[in-house]
Amino acid sequence: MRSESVIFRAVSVTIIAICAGRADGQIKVNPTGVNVNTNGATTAFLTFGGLGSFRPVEAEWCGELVSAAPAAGLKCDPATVFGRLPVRFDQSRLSGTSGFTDIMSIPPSVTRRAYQAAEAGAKSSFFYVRRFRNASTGQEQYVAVTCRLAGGGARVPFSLVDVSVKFNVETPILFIKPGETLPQLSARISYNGTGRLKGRWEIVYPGEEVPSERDLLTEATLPLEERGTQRRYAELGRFNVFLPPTGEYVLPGPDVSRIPSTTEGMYLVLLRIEASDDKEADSNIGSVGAGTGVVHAGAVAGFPMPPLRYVVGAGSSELAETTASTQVRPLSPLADAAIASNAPLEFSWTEGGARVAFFRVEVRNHSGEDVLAAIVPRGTGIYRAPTWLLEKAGSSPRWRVVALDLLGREVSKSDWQKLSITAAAPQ
Amino acid sequence: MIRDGEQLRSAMCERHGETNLVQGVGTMLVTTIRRRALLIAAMMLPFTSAAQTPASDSSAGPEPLVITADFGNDAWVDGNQPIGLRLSRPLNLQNERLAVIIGQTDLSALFTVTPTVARYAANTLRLPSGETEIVVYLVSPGQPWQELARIPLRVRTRAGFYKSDIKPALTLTTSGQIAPYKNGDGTRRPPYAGVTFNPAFTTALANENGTVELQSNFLAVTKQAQALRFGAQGSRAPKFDLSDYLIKGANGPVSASVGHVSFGNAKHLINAVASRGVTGAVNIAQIAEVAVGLLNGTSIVGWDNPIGVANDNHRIIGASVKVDAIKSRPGSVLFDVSYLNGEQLPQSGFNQGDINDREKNHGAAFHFAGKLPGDRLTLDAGYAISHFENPFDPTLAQGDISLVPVRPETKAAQFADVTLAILRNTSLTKEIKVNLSTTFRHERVDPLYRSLGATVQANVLQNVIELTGGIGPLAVQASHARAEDNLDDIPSVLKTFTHVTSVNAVLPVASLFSASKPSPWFPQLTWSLSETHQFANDVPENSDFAETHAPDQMSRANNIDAQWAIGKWKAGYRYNISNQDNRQLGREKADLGGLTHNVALGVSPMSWIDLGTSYAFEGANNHELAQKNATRRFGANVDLRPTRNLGMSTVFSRTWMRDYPLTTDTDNDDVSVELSNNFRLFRSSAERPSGRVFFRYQRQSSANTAFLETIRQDPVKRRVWTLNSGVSLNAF
Repeated sequence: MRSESVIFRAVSVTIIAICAGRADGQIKVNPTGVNVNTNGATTAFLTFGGLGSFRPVEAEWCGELVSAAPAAGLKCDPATVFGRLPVRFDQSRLSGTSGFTDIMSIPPSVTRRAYQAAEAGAKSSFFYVRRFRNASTGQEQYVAVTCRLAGGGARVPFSLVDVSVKFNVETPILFIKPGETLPQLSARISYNGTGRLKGRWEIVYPGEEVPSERDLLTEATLPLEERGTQRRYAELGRFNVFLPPTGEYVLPGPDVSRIPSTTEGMYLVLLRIEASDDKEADSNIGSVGAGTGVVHAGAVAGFPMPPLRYVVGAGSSELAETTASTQVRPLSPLADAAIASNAPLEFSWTEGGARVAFFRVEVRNHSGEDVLAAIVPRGTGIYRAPTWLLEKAGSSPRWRVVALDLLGREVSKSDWQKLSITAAAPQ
Repeated sequence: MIRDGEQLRSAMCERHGETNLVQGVGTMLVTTIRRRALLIAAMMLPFTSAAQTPASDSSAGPEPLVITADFGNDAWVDGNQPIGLRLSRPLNLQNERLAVIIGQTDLSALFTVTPTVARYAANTLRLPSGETEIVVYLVSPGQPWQELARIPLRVRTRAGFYKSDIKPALTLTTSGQIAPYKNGDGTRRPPYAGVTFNPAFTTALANENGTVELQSNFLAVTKQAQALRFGAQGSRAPKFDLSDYLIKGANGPVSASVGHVSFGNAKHLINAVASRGVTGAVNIAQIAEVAVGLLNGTSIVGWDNPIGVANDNHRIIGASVKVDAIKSRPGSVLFDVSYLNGEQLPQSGFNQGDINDREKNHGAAFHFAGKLPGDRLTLDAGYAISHFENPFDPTLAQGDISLVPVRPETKAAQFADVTLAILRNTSLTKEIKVNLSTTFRHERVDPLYRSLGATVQANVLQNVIELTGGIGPLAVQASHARAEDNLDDIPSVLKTFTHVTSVNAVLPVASLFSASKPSPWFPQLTWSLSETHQFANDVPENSDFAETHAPDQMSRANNIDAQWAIGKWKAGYRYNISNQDNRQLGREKADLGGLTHNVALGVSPMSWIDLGTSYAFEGANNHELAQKNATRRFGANVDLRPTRNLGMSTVFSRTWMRDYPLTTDTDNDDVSVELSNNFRLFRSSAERPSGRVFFRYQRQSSANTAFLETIRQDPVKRRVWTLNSGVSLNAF
């Protein structure tokens, strides 16, 4: 019984949509349906064409459609509305030939509503309905896009849904002294679909005009005619990496030696994402009468890419926090590891403890005499030993890491780890 | 003409006031260097690629580095007195660093190295008391540590260990565009220069019982668009704002922090949440730690909400109890319990952009980690349960509509990682050792699982087998993962399976031939291969899915990276090729290929010159549309430091973008030249007060040519240039 009603409803929707499509002045959309991520947010690039004198109003998601009569098209059933496109995500623009570029950003709570409805036996697909209004005649049209609940991987438009750019220091803005080398930076990206992530790292120098929000959108978020018009800044480097359909990626930042730190002032590091080719994210503007051809919209995003600020000057970020954990644990060299006496030696450990300010790496020879100690501030977890250390330390030295507080007092320490020194490797 | 390093060293020492090395010729040499550098710089302004270094300079070796102390060799110093080591030349940061061992302790990491001074602020950790020795080394990759100097040090003893250190700091920067009045794109010169004012305050107080540290940074600007919160508040954003602060205190086993803090160590519940707030911890008998945290919902800056916990609807409360059960073997039996209660408004963090919601949840997590003696078998496992809901969100409802409510859900997540060391330093031959370990990872996250304190992909079951090993210098990691979603098996929702196989290998090629003295001509090679197959078995019923909507895609990515470091030269080559093969009905031809080559070359022929160049090719191939895109980029940079205070940095890049069949052809040029000079405000050896003046020329141009049926249209050209200048003053 339920399947009959579903079939009837699907046929009705199709017939109405076809008839509406043939009507003069009917607004069309491409793509007409997209797979969306069941377990999170989704963003898709849509093109509406044939607007004529109609102008877009609001857009909403819902579980079922009903006739919009006397207006044209199908509108949301008021009893099944999941939400309206929040203003903060609305990057839509009139574009092309009587067209309209819409960036549909579905918040996770909308998909959650759809999932719970499907769990209860309802149809899993839901709809994104954009209302258009002719200001002079008062006529309205509704145009719907089908959203199908899928896994968020392949066949979902390649889009960025969460981007954080940060230095490897826990602070919102990094403050460094002139001439200091900056720490590594990276962008943590959650995405849907799969494709090539390509673009540039750029820098805004002190004194330059800062970018507008529109400048910070990914290129794929812009209508075709706006692409290439965003303000450019000095380029630090390019990236072009393939993202598999697995949802998360950490994009390494540019070579830190190329990031300026000589002149005082506030700098902005920008993540500029270029549009890439992705079949699922394509929008055929020709098919809706908004232009010719296909717009590639791989790497679309419903928000500006966050700029990363750093300030060269008097300030300091030396106290910046690291993640708290319990104890210090040696990682390498492993206990009883055999090491050639002339091999490079690197000690590493996991850091922890809210009170820990420094770590002291201690090396003793087999008689228990101190050979070398090294003080390393919290944050690196690595000490590269002098090349002469193992020759000086004898055949079976031991090492450990001691966590120190600000006063140099012990907070915790690891066990002694033995090393087995072998003959020097041949030259 | 400088022909040997000794002459230059004399010259450098003269500039630094080392009267015992003053030589009249030194001044002449320095002047010669400066003039030549300025001449080269002037030549490079229009045509960077034309930069050349005279043959005599390029053949000269690196100047020997001479280290002298800025304290009297026979004078005593206090234990908390800063000490400085003067460098006769700046370090080449690409391949040189300084190591300083005082007594038997390597304190290199605590020295702040500027181009001409390495300074140890002994207020951090006191110098060791009594008579000792400072030994300074020059460290270069792959080379033995080279001893540069031995300097006697006598430190007065002092009872106790305390400090009281209060450091205000202030930088004032004014910068603005001085030309042109109107640019090619119609933009006009801003009517006034921008001023940035950066006060900062650092304090450290300590006695035998405890410590208090404070760090705070502020920023004031005159241009509204540069205000810290301009993105969120626009014209309402204050021009003088608080960037961040942190106050940390410890007294015995108790510690607390206020400001920008981080909290949490539970993978699925609350994991390294970083925001403004308050944290506290009590260490009990060095085996247990009780910690609590109260943080703002997202990372913030600004004066509003100074502690970060003022908004009940936008904060996270966390607590944890951690026990490391065996004191003598830390980490061998470790368990912790965490709790979270939080609520978030639909707001993004300061350095974040995301598609967000109004959310609320509370939950708990249990974590266990243990290892057998010898670390041959380790276990890391956890279980989390979270109650999650979406409270009413007016930005989603927008006033006049009623939304389908979201049903609150209580869901769970779990993981377990087991690692077994199979081979440990097993001898294959006399020199070659073999290591091999295997790890099994399991993770299951329920559908609709969500926690405000952790980024977790919900609705996934994943099992991974991983092999990690090494044969001599070769390190290899291989893994195979199988994952599936739609764990509730809802018939109308697509169920996707993902199989990922990856291999990574690192090989320092030179070690194959000579492990102890590797030849720099052999590169360090890194290779990685990843293959992902994602597919659906069925088309969901009661949905709008057709067979073509269900994925069946195979993708491969292959990377090779080679890096060389040969004396003053550094070179690198990266190759990446990827392929996306769609196999589902109706998408068989929708395949994409990608290819990149990156070549980089850098050299520091003299300590005051760095040269670099790079070339990149990026190709994309859309097999279905028979379209190809190619991007080529050439870049070059020249950095000069002809004198201690004068610096010049030049960057040039050109990018060509073209597609086939030809529809567009775009060129972009980017040139930036910055000239800066430091100055002292008073005739004093102190580093501050000081200042800097700079000039920066930037030019960007582009030409975009469209082709209509192979007929070239008139190119659209754009060219803008700016000349900016500014002055900065550092008061403290």
